[in-house]
Amino acid sequence: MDWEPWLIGFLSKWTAGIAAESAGVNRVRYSPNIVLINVPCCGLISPIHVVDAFLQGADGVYIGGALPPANCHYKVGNFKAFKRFYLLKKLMKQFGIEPERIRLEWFVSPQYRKLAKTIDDFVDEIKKLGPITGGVEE
Amino acid sequence: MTRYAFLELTSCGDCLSELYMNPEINKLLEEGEIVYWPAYGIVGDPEEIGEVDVTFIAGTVRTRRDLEELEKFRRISRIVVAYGTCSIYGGLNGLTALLEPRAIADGEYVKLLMPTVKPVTDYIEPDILVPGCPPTREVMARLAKTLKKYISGGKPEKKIFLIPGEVLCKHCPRRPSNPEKAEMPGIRDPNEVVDDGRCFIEQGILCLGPVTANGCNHLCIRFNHPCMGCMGPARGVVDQGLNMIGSIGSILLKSREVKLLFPGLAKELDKLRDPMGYFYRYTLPKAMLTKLALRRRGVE
Ligand code: SF4
Repeated sequence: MDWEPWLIGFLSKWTAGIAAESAGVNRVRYSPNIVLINVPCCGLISPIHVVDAFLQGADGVYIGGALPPANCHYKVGNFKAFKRFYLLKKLMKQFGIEPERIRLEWFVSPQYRKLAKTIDDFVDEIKKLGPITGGVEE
Repeated sequence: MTRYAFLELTSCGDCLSELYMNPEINKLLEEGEIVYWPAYGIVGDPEEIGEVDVTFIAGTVRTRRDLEELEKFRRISRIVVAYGTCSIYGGLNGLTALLEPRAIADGEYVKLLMPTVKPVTDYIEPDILVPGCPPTREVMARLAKTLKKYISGGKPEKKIFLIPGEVLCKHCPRRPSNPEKAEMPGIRDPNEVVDDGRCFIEQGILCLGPVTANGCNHLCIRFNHPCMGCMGPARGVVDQGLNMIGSIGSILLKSREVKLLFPGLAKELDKLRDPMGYFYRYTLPKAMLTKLALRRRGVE
């Protein structure tokens, strides 16, 4: 099968975003299947953004925020994100969509190796799950 | 004489009966003529009815016949009123949106069903939209007033949405005095809580007020029942469930999250056992995730 997944990543610019930058500076490679977007805080990503990404064809959504309890630049953004996406995953399961298509990862700023590794892992996992459209020809 | 038709697609049909009994609407109907209402024995071939001035449509498009009738009546009617939440968002009938027709009907009947259930507004453009399950008396009065304007001819230039559409919380009698500080102390079962008159969410009871349009004057809330979302999404709300998840994320246990950490929060969130049923009781066919799930089945 010559299908390649494509993924979206939302990174909090204070932690995971810095990790992504360090990955570039240190020439650490990660899968090219992901498009990373820096946002001010993972606590402002709405479930609507994520589901919209799926509707537009993303096969998975990666969210990187600050490791609790004390690393979030805005103190509690990571908790907000956790609650939202924990619930969203539950909801997706009820709709018959694999909750594993959302991956949450938590960082202390410059952990670029962790970023690269988790992204590669995630891409592999999504490859196993198959396309978001469930293989229906469009 | 003004000619009226009542079209009941797949629905319980109660809201149209209620509309008929409303004194102001009834007066209009008495002065005109009802040319089509199969539920009350006024039947006829839509092809032979001729022009209709006002058609009230309630219900969802579940069967193929629903769709045929709907399209016919849009063609022959001057003004179409989408009446009730089912016709605009899917309502309770919409809860079958994710079931395959085979799960609902047997044998021959499967063929009579559409692949999924959709509200009227997904197929035609109504002129007046009246959400509510059922719409309240004030809204009916507003409808009567609007119809009077167009009775002798013409039709609204733009779609008319008959409820204000602002968020229910805005004028809620239980609104917290300082909404910025409001916190949901956990997720509780309503029968565990002795109601103390505060905002339901501040008592740990899920209330869909933050994402639902106000067209009911807080009817349920005044009778101590949290909002179930029957009026559909408020203005600016994209998707009732997803927006509600956003709100819950902001205010659930917000003063204790640093202590509870992720496992503690997860434990609390697990108490919400059926988010889909709770958030989309009246709007399932319109949910973004429904669209995604149906696309996987090849249904657009
Ligand atoms: S959440 Fe419910 S009870 Fe609280 S203010 Fe909003 S509508 Fe009223």
